[in-house]
Amino acid sequence: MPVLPVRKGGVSLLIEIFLLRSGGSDRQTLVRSTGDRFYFRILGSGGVGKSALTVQFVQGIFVEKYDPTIEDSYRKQVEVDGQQCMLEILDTAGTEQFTAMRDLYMKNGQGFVLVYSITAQSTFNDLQDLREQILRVKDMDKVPMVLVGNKCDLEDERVVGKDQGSNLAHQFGCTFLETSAKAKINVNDIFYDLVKQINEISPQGKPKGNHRKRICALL
Amino acid sequence: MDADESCSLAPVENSRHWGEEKESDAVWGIFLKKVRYQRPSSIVQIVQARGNHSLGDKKVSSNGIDSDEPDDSGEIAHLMWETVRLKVLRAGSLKKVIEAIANDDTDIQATHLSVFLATYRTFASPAEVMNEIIKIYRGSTDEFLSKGSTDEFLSKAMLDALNVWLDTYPEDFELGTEGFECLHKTVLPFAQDENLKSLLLKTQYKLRSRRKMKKAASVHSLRAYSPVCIKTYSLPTIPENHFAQQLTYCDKELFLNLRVWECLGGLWKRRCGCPTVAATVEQFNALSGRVVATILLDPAASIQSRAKTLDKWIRISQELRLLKNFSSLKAIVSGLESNPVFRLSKVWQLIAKDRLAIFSQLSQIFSEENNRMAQRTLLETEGTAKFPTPTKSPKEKRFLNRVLRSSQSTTKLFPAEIDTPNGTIPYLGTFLTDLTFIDSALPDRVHGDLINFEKRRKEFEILAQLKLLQGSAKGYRLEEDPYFTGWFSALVCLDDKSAYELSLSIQPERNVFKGHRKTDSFTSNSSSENIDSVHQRKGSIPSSNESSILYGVTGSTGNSSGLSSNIPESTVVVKVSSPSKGDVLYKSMMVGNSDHTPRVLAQALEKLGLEDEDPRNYQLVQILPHKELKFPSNANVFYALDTSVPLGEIRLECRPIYHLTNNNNSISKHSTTSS
Repeated sequence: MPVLPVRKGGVSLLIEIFLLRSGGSDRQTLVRSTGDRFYFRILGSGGVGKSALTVQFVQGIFVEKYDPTIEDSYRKQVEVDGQQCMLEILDTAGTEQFTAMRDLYMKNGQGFVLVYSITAQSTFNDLQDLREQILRVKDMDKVPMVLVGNKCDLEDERVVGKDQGSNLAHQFGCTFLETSAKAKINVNDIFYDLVKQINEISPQGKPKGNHRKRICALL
Repeated sequence: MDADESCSLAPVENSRHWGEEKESDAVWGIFLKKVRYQRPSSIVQIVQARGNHSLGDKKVSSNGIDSDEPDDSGEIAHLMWETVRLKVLRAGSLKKVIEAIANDDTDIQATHLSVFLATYRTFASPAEVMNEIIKIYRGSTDEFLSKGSTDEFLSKAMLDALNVWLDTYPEDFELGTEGFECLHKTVLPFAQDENLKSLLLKTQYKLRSRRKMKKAASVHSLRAYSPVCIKTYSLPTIPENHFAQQLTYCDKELFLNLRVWECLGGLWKRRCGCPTVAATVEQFNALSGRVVATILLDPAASIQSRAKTLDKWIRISQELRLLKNFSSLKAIVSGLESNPVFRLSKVWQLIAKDRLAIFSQLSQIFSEENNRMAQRTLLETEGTAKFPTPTKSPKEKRFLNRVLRSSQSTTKLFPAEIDTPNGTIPYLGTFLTDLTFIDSALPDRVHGDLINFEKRRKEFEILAQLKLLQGSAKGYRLEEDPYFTGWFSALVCLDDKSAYELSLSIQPERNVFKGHRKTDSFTSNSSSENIDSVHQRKGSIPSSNESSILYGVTGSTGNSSGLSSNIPESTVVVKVSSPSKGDVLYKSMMVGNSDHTPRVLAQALEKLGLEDEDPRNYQLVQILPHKELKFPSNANVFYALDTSVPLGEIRLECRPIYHLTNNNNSISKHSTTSS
């Protein structure tokens, strides 16, 4: 198995071989390079455009063909502040009502995107409970999080004011962005911001306690 | 359009993409297909005739196109092969989309019709479609009346379409639906048309018999039964296989009644008009909710009795796995892994190791890893098989054997009931997510305002999988036990918040998590990426997805550190070598999550044929591409390993102490398993 360690920004990149299912029933071997990994979760009521945000971010909205089983549909490599990272975005759009599986879904997430639609007040109201659930499940007072008011291209249909959004974000102590998956506004910023938040708490996704020691090691 | 893409768009086998043809209200993909003909004579001889047969204007003669057979003009002329030009609709107006049902190629015609009928609800109402079909049908026959020539092909295709529609989606024409109204309004005026008249009669007959059947069949829903019943069950005493069979019976009914088109992203996202999907979701949540409630509810229950209940649920999940009921299986696993239950480490501690191992394997089925790859693969291999037959990996085989051994229905299922076919019930959520994504990723309309039929084709691929599974679910032979249904529906469900409060009252917060978290952290005296990767697994922030590949456990290694010590033994395969045994390249061995340095060393030495050596004279070192990682003398090797190297490439070395080099990569930590 090829192991190609490359030094970049203190992060070793490995080429790993992964078995992936392609299109039909064939299994295919793909080569994937990884840097630091981040596991993000997209949450929000049905119909707020979560999947559209994910699709827009991961592969751009104008995809000729889309196959949910290929890795390009949920994984993206980006560079944030000179650091290579692999973002894995799990979006269970379509299964919002399977409430029982939410806990597990949250448990394995590092960063959370809470999405509402600026055209539907109820989707905004639902987020309070979702956030509480995340904090309970993660057993933390604060987690890396971005509050997102989606569909900001539909200004005519707006019912949730921008100030409402920023107030809620202030209350949550998280970043606030108004986005449009359709018009490609602020989409990438959501994910870059999350990476930065995670790095602030614990550089490169590690618990805080290690930060100091890590620097020592590098010196 | 690149070659790769055109290949995937090929509608039929052995065809290749030629180009695209645009009209004002349609876009066609053009494909060329080579058709071979068998010689009618019994003499097997390759004879070729070129270009003199033309079976219609849509076909191109093969003359000059990649012919490789020898030109033998001495033989009788016989058409061996020709290239046929096929047209596949990519996008079009509603009229064009319907007209395109008529295609020279029967395969394309059948596929187009199936895709159309399964997905039309995303772009037109039944009435609109009905009107359009009748209009096209009338148009093609009127032509016959006036001009003396008919587009018989088109009119026949339209009649076929109506017939197939009535057969496959009778629900569209039920009394009180738009389709019913329309069918009568649209078709009745043309009752003099024999074809339409017989069609109408057929429909009326079909609908009547359907109504009768529906009346005869009882309504299978958990809520349909009154909680008052004569015979009652209790969770501790009910046989697990009976429980699982009854859940499966209920899920089977729901799944067979599922109208797959309701799952289409464009329809389901509106959440209305999808009653059969909603019913599936409701049953799923009802089951998960009951799992949580039965474990938490009784305030007087001891930790032991809660553990018993939890154990019972794992046993029931085992049975569900054998029945290939992935819907209820996922519901129970989700319930057990929901925060209020999962955090109760004191309860989990009482569960037998074996049972925990089985549970972690069951939960592994629904791992999120690689966009739920495990689940998809499993459905692919077992979906339409009669029995759980994991052929792909030996690991899975071993696991299944384990489940079988400890299941009580083993004797019933194997081999006595070996002839009883079994179905599969999938977890619907994955399909809903995939369809939601396809809906977001591909536009509904293209080239102005044309219906993007390629998108519908893509959606149909997923609907077709569901249809196939529905077919297999008919294989279940299960009888309903109304007492069970009554008893089960009377069990209480809890909402999120009250479940969490109850959970806290059983095991207060700080004793569990905050306390454990401290002892769980690493007290490393030096640091490197190795430690980081260890933290990746053990820390509470990161998600351990990587480790789940290696260790075969998710949900347990990942998060709640308070629990990771109790939850199942996981293992990883490592390659061990030793400089004292230069002739052996390496040996493979397993390291479990409770194995510490001395034990691993002893095992490794034994493997290497150095069993006489004292492990205390050796040091365990992991060999990494650029460095080494020394294990402290009593580390938990499993967790301390640097797993940034690919699976199967973890190399350990047993190094005699005198060989030691100065390397400060060693780490030490409090073992979690011994705490």
